[in-house]
Amino acid sequence: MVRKDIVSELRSRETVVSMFLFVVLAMVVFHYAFTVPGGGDLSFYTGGMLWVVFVFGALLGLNRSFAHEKDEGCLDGLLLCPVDRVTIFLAKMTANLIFLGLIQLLAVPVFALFFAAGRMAAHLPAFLALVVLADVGIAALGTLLATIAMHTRARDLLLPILFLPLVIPLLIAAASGTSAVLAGSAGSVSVLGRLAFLLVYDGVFLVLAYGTYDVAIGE
Amino acid sequence: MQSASTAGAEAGARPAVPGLATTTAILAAAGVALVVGLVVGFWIAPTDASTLGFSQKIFYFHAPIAETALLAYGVAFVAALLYLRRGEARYDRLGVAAVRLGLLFSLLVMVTGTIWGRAAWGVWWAWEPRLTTFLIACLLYSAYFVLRGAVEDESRRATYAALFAIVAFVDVPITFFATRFLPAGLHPVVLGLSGSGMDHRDLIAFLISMAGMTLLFVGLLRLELGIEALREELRELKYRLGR
Amino acid sequence: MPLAEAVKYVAAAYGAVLLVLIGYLIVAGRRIGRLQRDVRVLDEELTRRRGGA
Repeated sequence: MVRKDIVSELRSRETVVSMFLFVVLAMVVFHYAFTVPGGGDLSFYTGGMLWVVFVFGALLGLNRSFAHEKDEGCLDGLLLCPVDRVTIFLAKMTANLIFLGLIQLLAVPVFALFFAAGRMAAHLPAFLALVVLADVGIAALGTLLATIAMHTRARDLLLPILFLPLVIPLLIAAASGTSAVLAGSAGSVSVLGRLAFLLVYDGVFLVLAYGTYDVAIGE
Repeated sequence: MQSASTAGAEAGARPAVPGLATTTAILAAAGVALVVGLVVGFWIAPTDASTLGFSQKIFYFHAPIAETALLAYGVAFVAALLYLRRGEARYDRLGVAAVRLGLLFSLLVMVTGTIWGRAAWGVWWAWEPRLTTFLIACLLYSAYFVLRGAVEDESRRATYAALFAIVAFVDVPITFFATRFLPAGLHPVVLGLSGSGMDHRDLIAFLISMAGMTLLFVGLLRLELGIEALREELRELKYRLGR
Repeated sequence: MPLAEAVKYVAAAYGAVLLVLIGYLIVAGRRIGRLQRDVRVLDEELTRRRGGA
């Protein structure tokens, strides 16, 4: 299973680079898109900005990783393996998770540079916790839905439509949590509450994926 | 289905929507309940003393419609589980009908909600829990139909639709509890944890309307399923005629 | 909000619901009519074929 991860990773180095470029470009776009005449302070929105960028970046990554597999016919090969379907899910999810994590690792310093101006270092643990939990949710939900969308026409367009409504609660928790952390209230109840929510949300989708992945990945 | 069409040919009778009589009865009962609910709500219950004033009366339909929409999505969830477990096409049909009606009711929630919002708060739209969560639900369950349209193989279509109906159902509890737990500010919490904050006459009107809406949902569901059954019969006939 | 205005909004809300529901029922009724007609037509053709063959 781990080998599958690594193999997927290596095969898609281009994806990592593209996703990183996308994320940084998106931040630049956001800066200009939200420029308020008179030089308003954007710090209120930075948490949200970061997560919007990550969510859309994740979508791109998911599309690419599955399209690659489908087109190359790798999927049939995978299915022939005497491996529990759920393991395939975990492998794919972990691969996506690692991608996302990698991107974030590279992008967060850039984000800090552009927007957060040194405020982040003080509250790193809370921030990391948020990121990890949110990433797991995005990866789990995204992998599950991408598997469904993969078999359809216009899968690039379909995945966002399926994914975005369901990721909104997660986005809200992550974005507002990040904003709270940046604003300095890292240990507060509300941040803890958001972490708890993310934990539950992740759990729900992991359970769902566990229960349905055999069906999702196809006959 | 075969007996239905041959019986129709022999008797010269019109092909029937299965169970139409019962469906009509249910719809009629729904209509009665809704009217009674409104009568109680408008003539018997007192005008709301809070800032909402008379506009509160919209509640007698708005809330039952909202709960019914969620009920519809719940039915779709169960239908999806049954379909995945047993593979019978009728569960898929039930799921489609339920989601369609869920969308219809969700649309009505949005309509009544925005009108109520304009009346109560002066704005046509506010990013407050119920409107927002129902908007998301509308978008989510619309995706259900987009998904169905994008899958060519029929059996796969049903499977994926069922999967999505199951995953999408996660949104329902969130939608349900959003008005209760999120710091709403604007939206009045009606059936709170501490029991109903309503005058008992309001409550009666609400419950009657709720019953009416549920009956309406059941009736419309039967109607949808009946139409689907007719469509099946049509497909069967076409097949037999070699078309 | 003055009562007269509030009444307008309440009426609009209930009116909208009624409109949508009636619209839905009309569309459903038309669908049923069309389907019944089609089924009858094909049914007759099937009987004719069987009778003729």
